[in-house]
Amino acid sequence: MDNLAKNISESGTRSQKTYWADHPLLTEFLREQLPITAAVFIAGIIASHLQHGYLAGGGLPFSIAGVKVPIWHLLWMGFWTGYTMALVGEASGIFSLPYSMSILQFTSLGVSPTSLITTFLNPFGALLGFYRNRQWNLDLAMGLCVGAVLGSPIGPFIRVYYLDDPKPFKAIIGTALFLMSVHLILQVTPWYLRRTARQRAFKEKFDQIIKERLKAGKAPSGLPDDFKIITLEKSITKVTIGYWGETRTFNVPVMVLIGFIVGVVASALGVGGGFMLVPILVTFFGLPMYVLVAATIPFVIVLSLTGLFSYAVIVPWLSGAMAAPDWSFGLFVACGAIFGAWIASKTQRFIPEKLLKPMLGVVTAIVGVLYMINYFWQLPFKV
Amino acid sequence: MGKIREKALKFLPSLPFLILAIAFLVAVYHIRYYW
Repeated sequence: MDNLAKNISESGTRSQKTYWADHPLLTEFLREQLPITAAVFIAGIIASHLQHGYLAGGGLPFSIAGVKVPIWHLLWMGFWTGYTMALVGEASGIFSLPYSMSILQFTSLGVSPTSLITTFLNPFGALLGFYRNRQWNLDLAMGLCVGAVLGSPIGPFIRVYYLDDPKPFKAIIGTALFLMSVHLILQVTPWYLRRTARQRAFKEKFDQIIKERLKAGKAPSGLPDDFKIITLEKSITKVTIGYWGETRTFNVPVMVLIGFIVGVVASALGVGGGFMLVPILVTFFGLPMYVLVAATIPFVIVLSLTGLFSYAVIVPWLSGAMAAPDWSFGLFVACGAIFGAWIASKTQRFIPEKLLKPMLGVVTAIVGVLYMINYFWQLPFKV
Repeated sequence: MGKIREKALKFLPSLPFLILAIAFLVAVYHIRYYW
């Protein structure tokens, strides 16, 4: 009898084990994504009670933002901006910021640090996945991160002293959007594809592995099991990394300088800086997407954190200006964005890039141009 | 299960466009008062 019970329980455990092994996506969602998104959502509720004294939403306003927005709308905004931007390989800040200002009417200074809460939390879901895939190298990210730590505390002062008024601020955001749209549209042109031959070769290798794994009945991943970004040489001036048979050398002071400049600009706006850093790393350093995330994700996290600290602590301390973020607003958006970015990472290989990138490019170009025009000539409608 | 999976895979390429369309409609609905 005991043996029978033991057998039943053993077979139950085995079938349970095979069930989870057969559903890796569900396992990943339940073990990693659900706890993260739930924790951020609960943090949002707690933050709302601590900062506003009540649960803000459609009925009661977010007091720093000065707007009434239903919580589902913030989750939705996070989701769609996180999803679409992760699909094209950038963080969600550059999309959610104009949406917060023009659609949700959050135009005060607090919109920038609030957006940094999202850009800080958004990459964590992806970080787990990249760490597991060994798309990870802190030596590559270090120079950029040092630059971010030096630059991002400065940006908030520019925002407080020179870009306090929404109009010039939107004009700058418009310029950033326009530049991003040019990059998005350029990416699908033959000229760009020719220039980035190295990435194409990498992508072909990647696609080949996906095909082979699918044929063998394995989960489709384009990176070989032994993929690793390794540090071959490291000194104060140079870092050499190797991945998949290729080596690349980076000048550390140049990386620090790039991190510094992107850090100043991105923290002044309240975005993660991916929209500037990704084109730089792709165009000038020829890094493929699957490798550059090892640098951009830690960079965006560090930049957002130091930028947020500067807005919340350093700026009020040194200048007396109030630039606190609306914590709950940012946390609710981040909750949606984390989930959206995860969905994007899982569905990216099924999405027709050639159609999506120009389409997003056109949308961002229109918004960017409207923001810029409105600075010089008042448009007959609100932007 | 196989059929559902097949249909889902066929639907996936249009997902970002559907999401963008819903985002546009939600945005228009939200700004109906102050534009």
